[in-house]
Amino acid sequence: MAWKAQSPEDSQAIEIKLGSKPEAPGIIAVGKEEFSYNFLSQHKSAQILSQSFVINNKEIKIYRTLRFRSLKVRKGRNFPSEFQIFQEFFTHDRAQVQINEATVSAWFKGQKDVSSSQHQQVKEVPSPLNGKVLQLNCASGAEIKKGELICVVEAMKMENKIFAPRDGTIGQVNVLINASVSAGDIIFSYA
Amino acid sequence: MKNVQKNKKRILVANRGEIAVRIIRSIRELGYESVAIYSDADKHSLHVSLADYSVNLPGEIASETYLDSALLIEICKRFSVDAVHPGYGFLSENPDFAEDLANNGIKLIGPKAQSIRFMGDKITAKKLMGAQGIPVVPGSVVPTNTYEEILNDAKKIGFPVMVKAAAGGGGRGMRVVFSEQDLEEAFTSCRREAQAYFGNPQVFCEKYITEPRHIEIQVMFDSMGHGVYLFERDCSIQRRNQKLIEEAPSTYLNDEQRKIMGELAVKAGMAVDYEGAGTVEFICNAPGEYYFMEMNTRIQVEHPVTEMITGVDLVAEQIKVAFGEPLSFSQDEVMIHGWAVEARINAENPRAGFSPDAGKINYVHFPQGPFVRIDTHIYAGYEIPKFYDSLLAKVIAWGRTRDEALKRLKSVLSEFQILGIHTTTSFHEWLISHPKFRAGTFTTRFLEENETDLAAYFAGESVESSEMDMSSPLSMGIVLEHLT
Repeated sequence: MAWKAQSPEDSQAIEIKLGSKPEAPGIIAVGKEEFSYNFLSQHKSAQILSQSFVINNKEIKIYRTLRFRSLKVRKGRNFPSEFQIFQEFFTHDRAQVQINEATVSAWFKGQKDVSSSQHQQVKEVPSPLNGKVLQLNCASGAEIKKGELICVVEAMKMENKIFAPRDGTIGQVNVLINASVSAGDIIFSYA
Repeated sequence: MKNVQKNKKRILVANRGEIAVRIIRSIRELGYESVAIYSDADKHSLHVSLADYSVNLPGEIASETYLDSALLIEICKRFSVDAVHPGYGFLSENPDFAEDLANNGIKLIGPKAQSIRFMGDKITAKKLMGAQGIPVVPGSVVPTNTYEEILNDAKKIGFPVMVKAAAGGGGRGMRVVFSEQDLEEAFTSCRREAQAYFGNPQVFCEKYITEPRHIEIQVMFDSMGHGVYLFERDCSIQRRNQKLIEEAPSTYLNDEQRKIMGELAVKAGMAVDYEGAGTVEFICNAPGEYYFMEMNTRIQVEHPVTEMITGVDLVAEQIKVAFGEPLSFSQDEVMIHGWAVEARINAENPRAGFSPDAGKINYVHFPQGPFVRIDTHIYAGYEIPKFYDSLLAKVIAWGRTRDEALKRLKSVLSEFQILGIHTTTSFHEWLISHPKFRAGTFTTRFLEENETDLAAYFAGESVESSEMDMSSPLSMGIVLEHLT
């Protein structure tokens, strides 16, 4: 499902700002115009101005509805040329949006922005989900290479493998085998 | 700015609330584009975000927004809209709007302007139906000033009769007369009242319906002149002419009467060259004794009960027929399957004389399950505007039998929860448990006759959750804890 945007023409940037808390509306800025959206109000949609005209001194605005899953914006001659809507990336506290070929993750206030940490040296590796530690292949002081299997967390009858995000030496291991972990709990940190 | 390129048929939904949501979903299923309209007060209404396009109508009150037909037609023209679905209320039975649309080459999803006009004038409609051999409530042919004429009419009709002011309305200037000896006194006082209230002393009389039952027949016509009936709905449970509970079929009719009334309803539609969905309303005095009241030339609030027992999507059928398709079923193919009951959940406080309530909804719980349907436009966080009607949701349950449908509806209502405003949910729980309602032996006066029962029910109830302070999510949490 793709939509060719008609307006505003020749806008150079699209920006998506999430609300400060789940109920608060977020803002989509296309060029200089800003549109609020409210994806957690169960609608998963945003209204973007499509046309406007004046009838009997009343300004009538027609909005195109964007179904909110994730937005992918491809740069075209008349940017924004196309919004492509695909796999949902919104969760209760996070949204992932692809803008100009780059993926931006945003978190609600009080949460860490994961994507920004990708550019820095990763210090700690958290569990991405709630589950039970099935396998643990790391010990304090061990050298590991990027992509090595460190840990397996089981949740909902599925095994989830956690790999080392970079080369380095393991500092501290914070979990035990068969222990329960919550999403965000630190599994180990680099020395 | 030029129009957005368009390769699909585009339908504007000239309504709001649950019916707009329901229509938009059918439009989407059929593969057409939907255009919602919304007033400033309805900015956060669900129909806005479900439609492919939405048009903001500046203003709040209905006459400046949803009822501004000239504005809507101008929007349709500029936005290349092919058809308009009017829903119910607002412009749905406005023949001038239908005519203006037609003159601009826009299809109204509904009957032609002259059919609406015919049925809109209740007196002309009754005359026309009477001429077609459809029974109408027997009454005086012309209003009169003389007692002799009233007596003559009353004798012809048979007692009891109702003496009414010709210019009357709203229950004023009406007298029920059970025998000839009371007629003169009623005639005199009715004339006096008619003069005082309406400035016109003329009165007339018509048959008084002692056991009124509201039975309506759903009909559907295509543009090729085919018409079918989709059986009856029983809407006898009312409060001040507002329907509260509707069911299909009715305990009141047997198959023979069902067929006769259905065929009469189709005849009524044929007489006005009808197209699309419509409802022919009858008032019944006894099974087999029924009189034409009026024809509603639009989709009705209670249409889901008919959909549940027939399996026909009436709104989708309306759209298809409007675009020139023939009816997708014949009379022989429509059958009654089981029983369906609908409860209208309104933003009203039944403990305070059903006074309307507006405000923010903090929490909703809509129980799901087999054969349960909930048509609504509300969600947690939605603020009910104070400008429009109070309908929040329609809860419909289906069962193989009436008993099964009612038990299911009761179970759903016991779980159904809207926090933040007063609703009629608990009232419906009382209603559908009432022995007389269960027995199916009620009339349109059911509520007046059982007022004390209702008062006792409310008096016996503990403090209802909706009366607690739910101004913040925190206190809402406390309320929920209390409930569990």
